[in-house]
Amino acid sequence: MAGLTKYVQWVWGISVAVQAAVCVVLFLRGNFRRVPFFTAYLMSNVCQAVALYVVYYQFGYGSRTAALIAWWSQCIPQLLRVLAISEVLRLVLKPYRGIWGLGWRVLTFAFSVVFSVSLIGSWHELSWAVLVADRGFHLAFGVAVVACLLLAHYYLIPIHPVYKALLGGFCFYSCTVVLANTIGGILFLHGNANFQMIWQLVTMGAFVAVLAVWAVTLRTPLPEPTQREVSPETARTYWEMSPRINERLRLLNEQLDRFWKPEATH
Amino acid sequence: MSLTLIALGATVAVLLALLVWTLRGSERYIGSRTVSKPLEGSGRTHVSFLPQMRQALRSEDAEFLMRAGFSGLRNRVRRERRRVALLYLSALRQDFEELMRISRIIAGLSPEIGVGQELERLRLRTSFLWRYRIVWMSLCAVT
Repeated sequence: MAGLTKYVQWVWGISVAVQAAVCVVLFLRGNFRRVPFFTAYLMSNVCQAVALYVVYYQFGYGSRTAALIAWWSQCIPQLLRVLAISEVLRLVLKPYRGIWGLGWRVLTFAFSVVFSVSLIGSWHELSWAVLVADRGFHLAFGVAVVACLLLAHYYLIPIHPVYKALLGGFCFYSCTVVLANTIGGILFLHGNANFQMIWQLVTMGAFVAVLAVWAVTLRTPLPEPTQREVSPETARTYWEMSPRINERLRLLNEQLDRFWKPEATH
Repeated sequence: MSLTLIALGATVAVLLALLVWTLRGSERYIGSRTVSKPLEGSGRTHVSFLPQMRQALRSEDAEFLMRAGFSGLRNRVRRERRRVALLYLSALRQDFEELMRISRIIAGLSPEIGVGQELERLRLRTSFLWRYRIVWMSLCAVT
């Protein structure tokens, strides 16, 4: 394990231990049934950590094989991460069918646009491609989560505190990774020898903090999914009322415009 | 590279601020999903006083008081009228927000919603808030 500093090894160990603790809490409280993808995400992280430990031990931390395995093994937790966040958002928005229909479109659109934009120019320097892709992924992820939360806030949808902790934790971690990747890149360009250690400590430290919050909040049993009776009448009401409300809002806008005329001020 | 850091740092700061705002704010809506008054009455409670308000803001009365030599009274009248105008403005906003609230509740209950309708409402709200701020600042700036 030469190459990984003592501090990084400690934080890594703590991170794996806290992830295992969160998994235990999920199973003990029965919450894994509500959030199976989230549980799978945490378990995949633990498995990946164990596998990487073996790989680093076998091939050495600085070897190309270890680096390739480390980056490629990231694909599974990242995919499960996307599924986990979609799962939580679905649990929050699913009872509101119309808004969930809008929500998943917002999620997909925001993620695709930000990820594509953040990848522009990355192919010019192949060595940066992985770093830029990882940063782009986390940035897109953060934007998509915040966009969905804004949607829920706009439509006055209440969010259970546990789901708030999960969504907030995912977003906070993604934001930290975006900054850590950028600062790590700058330190590397300036020839700082400790850039890798700083990057690892910042990202792992943030993840441990998020895991600690999850471990505490997930002790609360997750609520039963709300099953609401939806009658066709509500859709008809929407299509009848919505244009009328918009018309009324337009009138109020016009009144406000008319209220203020230059001569009224003198 | 430092430009990238500034841009990404600003983006992350905005994202975190929005995250905190959305997660903190959603609690106040629990249990408030009731329509307090019918649509027919919403959005026109205060707007019907618009002619009186516009009349009150006209300059003729102030000019008359000025010509008559009641400058102290003129100033008091202007202050009072501005206060009433600000109250009226805030009442208009209340009407607007009440309509917005009703529309969101209806959208929340509906199994399908029209993206066009929702975007139009968002545009109307942005436009209203923008005008509201301008009028409010202009009224406050009037001496």
